Amino acid sequence: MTWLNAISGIRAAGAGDTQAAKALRAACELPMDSEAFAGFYERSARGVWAYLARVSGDAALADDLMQEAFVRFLVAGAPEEGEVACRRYLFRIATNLLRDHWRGTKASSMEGMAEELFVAVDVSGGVEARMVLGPALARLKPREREILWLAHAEGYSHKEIAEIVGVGSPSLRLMLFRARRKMAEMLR
Amino acid sequence: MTMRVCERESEVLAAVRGGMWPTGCAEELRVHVGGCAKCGELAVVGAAFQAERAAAVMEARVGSAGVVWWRAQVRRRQAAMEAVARPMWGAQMFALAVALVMLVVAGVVWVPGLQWDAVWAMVSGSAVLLCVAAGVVVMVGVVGLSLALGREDRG
Repeated sequence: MTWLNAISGIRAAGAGDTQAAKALRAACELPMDSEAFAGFYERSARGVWAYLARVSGDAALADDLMQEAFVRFLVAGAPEEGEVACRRYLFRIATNLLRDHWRGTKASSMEGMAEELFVAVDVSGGVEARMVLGPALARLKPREREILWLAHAEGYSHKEIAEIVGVGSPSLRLMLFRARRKMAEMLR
Repeated sequence: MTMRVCERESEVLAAVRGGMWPTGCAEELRVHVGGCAKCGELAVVGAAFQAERAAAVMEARVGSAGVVWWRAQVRRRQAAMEAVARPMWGAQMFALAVALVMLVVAGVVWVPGLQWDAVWAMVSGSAVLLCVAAGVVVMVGVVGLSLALGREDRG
């Protein structure tokens, strides 16, 4: 668009701020200022990383997805209900990113896939070796890992977990009940 | 598989989440958990996940908030640029189409060998069309200019 360059010259010659420019500038503004975001990031990032790393079993993937989750959180616009809602929204983004990653790896329904496919091999041996729940978690379905983590590690209510993972509240109760029983049997 | 609910679940959960399970809570609650399958499951699973979370949080590799902030700004700017570029592209295509129509009309009007009377009749007949086309071109130009100025201001 070479004529755009010419127009920019006209603008530089003295054209003032326009309505379109103001609207565009507003579209580029992020929903939090950088200091507020830094505080929120400091308080939330480790929890989100822990969720991603343990549910995926892959620390490198958790690094990437955590950064992407925060970027999407900022670009999409943070909820106005406060930090608790922001954090919940962040977990929702992280859950969707995990699911997108798995779907990208194997293009089919996540629920119908073998659990082994979701257990990433950490070549460094670091995360897997340090995991307390490692073997038991690896034997659960991805969604079971998600809901158990959100319920017992993050302390979310049934309603909040249903919102984060995108299932109905009654289904969630049953899924959580079954997953917890399965996990308890493996831990005992 | 029946979903039995125990009325003491919330107490057990609170003890586990508060880090008081098993040593920091009442003996009476420990006895209850020992005899209640549902609360026993909650205590075992809850304590295991709390320990796992504590370990995972300690090993978390958290980058700089500034980098994330910068990446979000870049992405938001790109999205805004694309949103502006879409109507701009449409306007350019429209202006091109109008210009082509005007060229065709001019070509028809100025065909050699026509009598001037006939030519004048055609020109006067199509003058309205030419004016409309010229007006559209000017309008598209104004819209394009304002969008371009907005884009430059933001950049």
